[in-house]
Amino acid sequence: MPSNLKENNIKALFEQNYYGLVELSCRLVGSMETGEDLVQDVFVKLLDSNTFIPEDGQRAKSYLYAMVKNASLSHLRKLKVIHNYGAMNPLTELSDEDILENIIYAESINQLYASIRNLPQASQNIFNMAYLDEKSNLEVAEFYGISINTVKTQKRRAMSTIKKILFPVLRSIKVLLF
Amino acid sequence: MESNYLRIAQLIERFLSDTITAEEQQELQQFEISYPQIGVWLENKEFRRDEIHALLHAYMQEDIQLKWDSTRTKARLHRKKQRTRRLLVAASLVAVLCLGTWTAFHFSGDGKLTTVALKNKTVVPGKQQAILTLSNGEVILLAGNDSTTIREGGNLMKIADNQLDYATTSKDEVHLHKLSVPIGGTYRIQLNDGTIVWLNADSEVEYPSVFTGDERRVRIKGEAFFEVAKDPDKPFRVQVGESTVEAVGTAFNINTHLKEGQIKTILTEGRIKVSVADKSVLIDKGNATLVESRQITVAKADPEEAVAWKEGYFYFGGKDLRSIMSEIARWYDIEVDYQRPLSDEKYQGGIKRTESIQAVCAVLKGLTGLDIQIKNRTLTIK
Repeated sequence: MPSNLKENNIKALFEQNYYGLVELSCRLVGSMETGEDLVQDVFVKLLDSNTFIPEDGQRAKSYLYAMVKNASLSHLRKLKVIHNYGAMNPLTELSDEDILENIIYAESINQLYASIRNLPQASQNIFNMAYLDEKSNLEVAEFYGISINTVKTQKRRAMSTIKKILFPVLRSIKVLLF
Repeated sequence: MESNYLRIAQLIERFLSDTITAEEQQELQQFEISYPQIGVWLENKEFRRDEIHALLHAYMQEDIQLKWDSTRTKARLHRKKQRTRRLLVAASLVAVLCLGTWTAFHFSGDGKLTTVALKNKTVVPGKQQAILTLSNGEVILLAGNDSTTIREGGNLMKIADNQLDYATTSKDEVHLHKLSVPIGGTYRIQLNDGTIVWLNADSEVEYPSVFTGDERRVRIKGEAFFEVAKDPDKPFRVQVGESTVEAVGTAFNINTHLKEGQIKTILTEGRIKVSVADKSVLIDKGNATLVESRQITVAKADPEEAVAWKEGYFYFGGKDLRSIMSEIARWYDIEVDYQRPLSDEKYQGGIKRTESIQAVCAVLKGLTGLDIQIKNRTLTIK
């Protein structure tokens, strides 16, 4: 049974890296569903008390990528054995270059997600609505049930925070908001 | 994985989001020499960035908390499975040890056998627990009140309220399953035809996940109570040792725990046919059969004896002390040390199976007038 401390650490790693790891696995195995299953299985292994995880965040991340990569490749090997899958799926012949390419996608998603998660809650909400849900000023105001002026003030405040972290992302929302 | 990959990915992310420092930019350019494909990212900055935003957008439609919850649930099930596996390994170790000790005892001629298994747990009443073995050999521990489902191929089985349920299992596939109840356990199962089987401690039932063909056949060991669903076209047959009990919509209890080589079947409802070798008898409600050495005898039955255990009672009616004690030992997982010859005297009475072993000892003392004591995991009768 893992201690609570360990489980909390694993949960933090999960929240920081899940989407990126799924992206990596999904790019390797070619299926979103299988990708999610493989990533979750890796975390099941980590939750098992006998599995070691490095304490250092960067090393833990590296370790997670390696585990997901290996799980994905061994899944592909199994498919190859069972269905002679390799004959029709060139993905089984993965080069190191492909792996690097996929890890760049994965880690970019993780970093971007992390910077959104690290924003104050209000800024996050605004960001999510404006950028991810592409909602207008009025829609955001109605959603939170506050006046448009309050929304505008809050938005400006949120945006100045976000600008510092995610300036380039804002280019697309700028048109929308100001 | 190459140790540089993560670093490169992080540098590229900073490049894409314009948060890269001059120093980091240089580092990235250094990397580009060894990993020329980095160039594609540097040249298609806006395109790649939009691509990643779109991907993240799609991911963020889902709730990460839910993903975590489902992962934790998987981990819990995984641990349970592992525990069962460890339990089985431990059980086989104990078996090997027992065999070894028996051999040593047998060949050394030393009359004193020391106990191998260290049992220092406190004695507690049995509980709802069982081990399900699927046809693929997978072993699942059923314990606790969790509602869940078990899958094998196209067969789905439900677990709720301490009952394993096949009633809604799809009829497309048939798997042979086995439910074993350990010492100190009891469990209930509803078969695909609606028949309900209660298993007592140290008992097992083998059955198909779905009944096909013109009969419903299961096999048992130990003690089980059957409430058979009516289906006149498909007789329900229970194989127990060499004998068979055949029923069409009845309720009966089969017990092989009373005496070595003896099978007692008590009918509480309907009519059954009991066969062994080439002999068979038909009995009606309120009767019982005893099968021993391929002979069948019929006698009046005490229906209380058939149903008491599944209602949560030990029932002593008409039983001698040895039968009573062995039932208690199976439920509390204890040893019984008889330090005096036992009479054939039959007793009356009963006690709740949820009582402590001390309470049971007190009742037995009053009932028999003998000195009965529990120490560690051994019950001594003087």
